[in-house]
Amino acid sequence: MKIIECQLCKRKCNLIEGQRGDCRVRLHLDGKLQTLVYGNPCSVHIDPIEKKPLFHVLPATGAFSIATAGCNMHCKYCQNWQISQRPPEETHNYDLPPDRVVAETLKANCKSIAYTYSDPIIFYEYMYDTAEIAHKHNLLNLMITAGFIEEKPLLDLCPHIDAANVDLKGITEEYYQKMCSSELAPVLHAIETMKKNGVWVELTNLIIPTWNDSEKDIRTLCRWVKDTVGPDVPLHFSRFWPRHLLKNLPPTPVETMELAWNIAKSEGLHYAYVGNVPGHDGNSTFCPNDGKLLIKRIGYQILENHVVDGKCEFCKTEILGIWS
Amino acid sequence: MAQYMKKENKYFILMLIIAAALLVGIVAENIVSVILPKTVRLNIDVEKVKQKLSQAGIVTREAKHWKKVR
Ligand code: SF4
Repeated sequence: MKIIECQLCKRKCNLIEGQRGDCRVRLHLDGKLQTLVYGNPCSVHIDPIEKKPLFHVLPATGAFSIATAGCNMHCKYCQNWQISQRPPEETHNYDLPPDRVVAETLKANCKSIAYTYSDPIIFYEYMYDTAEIAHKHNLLNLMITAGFIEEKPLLDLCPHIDAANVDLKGITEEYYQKMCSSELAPVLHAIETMKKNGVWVELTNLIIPTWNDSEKDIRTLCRWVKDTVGPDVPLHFSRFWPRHLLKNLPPTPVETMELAWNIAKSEGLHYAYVGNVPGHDGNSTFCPNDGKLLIKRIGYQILENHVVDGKCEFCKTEILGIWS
Repeated sequence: MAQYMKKENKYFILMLIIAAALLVGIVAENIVSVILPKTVRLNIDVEKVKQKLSQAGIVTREAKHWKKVR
């Protein structure tokens, strides 16, 4: 019996002929590993880039966003479980090869393509080829991912990705195992690898009551961010809302979100954000030097922007990101 | 001796016997699942897999990053 090993993500599925990987979209067929989703996204939308969230990348522009069925993570709270936890036979798919994705992006006057919703790692080849073409047309490539990927494919991909939002779901192995049937260490490694290889990285941490909302966990996470990838990496705390397999829990209290925001600031992170609480001060960007309001947001909307040529308009401190 | 037992005691002993039998069954099943090699259960009809893919209109394409193990 012939067995092949998929070396794309840390699951390293060993597959006999006719068998699919854990992500449901990679199959051993005719002695080779085949992808089942190339050029066939099941989700195509134009989103504000702030929705990704990427707050330090071309503010107030549209991101042409695509996703296919399948995922290599199985989070109990997944908000896209209707596509991420399904094989491509069970989703409605479009015929959109890489060159057409780019053409549609240009037609819609978007400045970037976001590989998102499910985890784009599992449609790696589609993302890779699309990203290559996109760069030739001066479009940015944005990867919204859980970062559960092997080093080699990530290193191959990095030159084609401009910015990534990595979901740092928690800071303990136990959390990753129980909540996502996954592992923390490879995710931390992927974040470091992206940062070292020139990808603009922002992080999202979904705070779930009773699971990862302790002061200790939040502080440990903030310290890891500051010590490993630096205080200029934006950290988005996101408010949990009951869904999928976690409908039994309440939404995260706003006080908990504020606690996390304050911890991040007290630990020295320059850009901490509060997500899913529209109108909160934590939606906005403040200058790490003079504390002045730089980008005022309400949800995904931008009301003011005082970042000029990548600098604070008032004190001229450099604000890291991709601004033009 | 059974004729001197109260009715409730008889039921209690019967329940104990059933519980013990269930326990033995569970332990035996666990031992078997650990001992048996994991590949034994896999037997995939590849032609059927291909047929289902084509019925769903799915076109396959060779993936990157994999290797033959054996
Ligand atoms: S990408 Fe899919 S097939 Fe490959 S190792 Fe990960 S889960 Fe398995």
